[in-house]
Amino acid sequence: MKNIVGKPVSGENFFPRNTVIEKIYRKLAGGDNLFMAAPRRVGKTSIMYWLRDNPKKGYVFIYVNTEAVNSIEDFFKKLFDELLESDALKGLIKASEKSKSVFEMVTKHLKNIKIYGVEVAFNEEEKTGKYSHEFKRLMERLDTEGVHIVLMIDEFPSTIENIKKLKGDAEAIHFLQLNRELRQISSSSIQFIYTGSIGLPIVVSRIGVPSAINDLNTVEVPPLSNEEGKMLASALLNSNEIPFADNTIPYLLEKVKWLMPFFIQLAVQELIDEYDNTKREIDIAAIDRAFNKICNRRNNIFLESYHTRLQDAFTNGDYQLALSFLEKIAAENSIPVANLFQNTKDENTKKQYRSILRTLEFDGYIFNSNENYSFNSPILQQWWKLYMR
Amino acid sequence: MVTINKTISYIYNPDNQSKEQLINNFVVRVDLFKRIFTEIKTTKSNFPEQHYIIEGKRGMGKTTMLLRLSYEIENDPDLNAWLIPLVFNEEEYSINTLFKFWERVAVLLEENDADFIGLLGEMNKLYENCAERDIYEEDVFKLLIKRLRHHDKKILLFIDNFGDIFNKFKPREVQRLREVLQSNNDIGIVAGSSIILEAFHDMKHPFYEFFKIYRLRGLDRKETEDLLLKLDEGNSEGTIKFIIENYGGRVEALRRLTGGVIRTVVLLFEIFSDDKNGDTFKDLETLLDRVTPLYKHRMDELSSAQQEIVETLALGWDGMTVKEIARKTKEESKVISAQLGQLVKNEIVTKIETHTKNHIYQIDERFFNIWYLMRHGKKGDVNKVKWLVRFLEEWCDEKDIIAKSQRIIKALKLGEYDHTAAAYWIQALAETKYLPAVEKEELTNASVHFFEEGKAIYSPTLPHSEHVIYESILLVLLSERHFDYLYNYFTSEQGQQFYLKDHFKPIWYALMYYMRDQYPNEYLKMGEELRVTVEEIIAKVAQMSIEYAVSENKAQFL
Repeated sequence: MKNIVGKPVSGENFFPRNTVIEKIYRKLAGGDNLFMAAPRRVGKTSIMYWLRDNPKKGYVFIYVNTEAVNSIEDFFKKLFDELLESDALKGLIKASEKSKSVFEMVTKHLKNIKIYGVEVAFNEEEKTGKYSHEFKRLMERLDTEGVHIVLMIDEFPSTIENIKKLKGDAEAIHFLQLNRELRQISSSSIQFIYTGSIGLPIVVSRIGVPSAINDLNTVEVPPLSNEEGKMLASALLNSNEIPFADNTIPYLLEKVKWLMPFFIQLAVQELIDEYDNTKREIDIAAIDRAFNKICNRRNNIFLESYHTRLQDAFTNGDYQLALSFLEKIAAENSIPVANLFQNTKDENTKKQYRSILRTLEFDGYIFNSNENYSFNSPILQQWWKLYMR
Repeated sequence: MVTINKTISYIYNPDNQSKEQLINNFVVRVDLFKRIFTEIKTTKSNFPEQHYIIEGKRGMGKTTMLLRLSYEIENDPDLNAWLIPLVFNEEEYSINTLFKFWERVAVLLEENDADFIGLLGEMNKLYENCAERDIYEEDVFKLLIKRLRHHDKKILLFIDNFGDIFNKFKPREVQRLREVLQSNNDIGIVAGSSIILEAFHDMKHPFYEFFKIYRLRGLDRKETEDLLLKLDEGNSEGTIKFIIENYGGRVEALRRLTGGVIRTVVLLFEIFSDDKNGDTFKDLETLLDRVTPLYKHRMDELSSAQQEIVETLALGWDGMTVKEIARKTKEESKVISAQLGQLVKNEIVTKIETHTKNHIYQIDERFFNIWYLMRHGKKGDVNKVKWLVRFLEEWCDEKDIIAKSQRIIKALKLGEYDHTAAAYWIQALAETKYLPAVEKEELTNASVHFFEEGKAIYSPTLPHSEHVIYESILLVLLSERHFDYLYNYFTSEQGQQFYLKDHFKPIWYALMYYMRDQYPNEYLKMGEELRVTVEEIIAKVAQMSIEYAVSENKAQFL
């Protein structure tokens, strides 16, 4: 297992998340469409890759990333494109005349649809259709021959935000409603999983249509357990041939505290660098030095992304407030909720604050325990304290 | 005598070296190279497992590392069967949109692999039929991927100055690129990036979080020795080997002086070794010109208080405490401390911790410090070559300094030495604590002779840089009390022909001050507007005299 930092992993580099995977299959078997709820950096995309590459019998998972999409038509065109690229659909169309004719029926109205490996006849004059409409028709009528096709849509909240920015709230609402409709009319063997690095419920409630996603069943992706954390850290160090003393892994995990795979990988990467410099077995002192480096480096791209992501998640006024909340929490280690609200009087401001804090919680910056907010990750907190002032 | 191979220009522009030369000269950072290469080599089924950023200050060897990796992939039969390394130019001015980025990839593919000839032409045809740029971008990308898969190939893009390209992209293009970097299996990136201010701005791009960062740190002692041995290859005298075996502390001192930055180590080595014609200083000047826009931008980004601190540290060269900085800037210590905190965080300044609470601060990037001294050191001020003085004092003992002085004198007498380099050497050698008085006299006389013979280019419209050089020589002569000689030279036919009094009026009047007993009226002719400048020169000359006298006294005991 290699220490892949930052990029979603696949194959032998994926650390097994069996509990989460089983939970997903259980809910899919129950006929649900899902929303994977987890903060950034927890490994959602890697889990999706695992499902795509190692499906159980009777399942096909198709991964679609819609981060750059900024219109409804582009969204559905992208779904079409990914479907057409997928071996599963190609196989289906080849094997089933019924599927092929459904496909012909919907695609004949569409311009700019390019098909690789699938021969269909087009009539140029009939290409007046909309992707959104035709995709719904396809999902409604496609016979999957008993195979469950699961469309996994990554960065869906970003798509909503993009559409909202470009075309306004009404268009974004329409987009959400179309997707809800799609889920309702799709054949029972076609299901959807949504996720993204921005919280979907927050994005949707800001537009004012939380009901648009109330049909989605939530799958939470928690941090690793201590045992899992130990296994991951050991596997990474061993695969890189880094010798380490026995007591170092528990100490490492204690310092990481919030056992997201990313933070463990970040720490291990520093330990690899440490070993390359010193050629000495990793010990407690080496771990302390590594953490010092992670937290005390201004130009830490990964931690800096926690800052820049706030600009995606919030508008200008809210962004400044979010920064000030995080600054206070970083400085105090733990801050009572009441303290953050002490200067607010009117209900609208309180509502605004609550929304911001919920987003920060959902996105993994902070957690609320006994009405006190703290940073999830001591690494992020330390870096924030030093550089986000 | 060491053979000079224009190593400075090669190191600064590594793609001037042939593939074989670069591989042969690649003697440091070998472990890191092997680590990254092994990671790449074992990724066929999961390619690209990782994108990389090679991060480091300028001169650390990023470009060389990128090229070395690309050459190794080309040479590896297991890899080159399916992986094509594509190396972008250091500057890619025409790439200002994502589709142009893919088009550039197509061009590089055509150049590297005959299977892809015609790819750009196909992309251009798509454009003719395309209604929108966004669709065109997606179409060319799909075409690129289709062709790669058809030939069962993947590509690894080596992109230096990574941020410069992507800073020009629109937000949607950035998102598209992020999508590609996250999920596409055919394209990997190994990027080079400088740290500090210029890269800080780049961090607004969210796709950086997909990269594993390898930081190039300064060379350690062993690596510095390996580098120097390589530079000294071909020297039958085995000078470096002798130094390493007998004076190991010097290598460590050089390493600390340069911060272990490869380019600066090479630079100092070459400058010291060049006894032939001083051309290495020309290379240095070229290098300084090239980095000026970047370093100027770096200074412009600082607050005025920070600029003042940076200037103070740069002109000082050696580390300074907060108190020393406060004294120089006439600012309160706590204000200085606060600003230093920011400068340390932004890695402009390095803090060297001591056992007391008085830590030492110095400019982090030593080549930036050299640039500052050379470009902003005061006219005629020996600060300009302070970096060279320190190097000489660390690298040489008295014997070496005398030997170097003799070699410079010989070159001056032959009249073949570059006058810029001559002026720098004369100043630096004279300033070192090791040059005995006798040798200093001999060096000064040789420079006078060199100057007298007019081997240096001189004209009524003397370029600023040369004016500065001659001024510094005149100041040295004043401090050495060569008053009669200088008077004769200023008033000679040659001096009149070249309008010396006009070009160096303040120095002429400083000379007249010293000779006021002999020429009482000349000094009185000085215009009031020159008074302050002349008084500054007199004070400067007095200081130089004291410093030389101290050096002489010390030299007596060496």
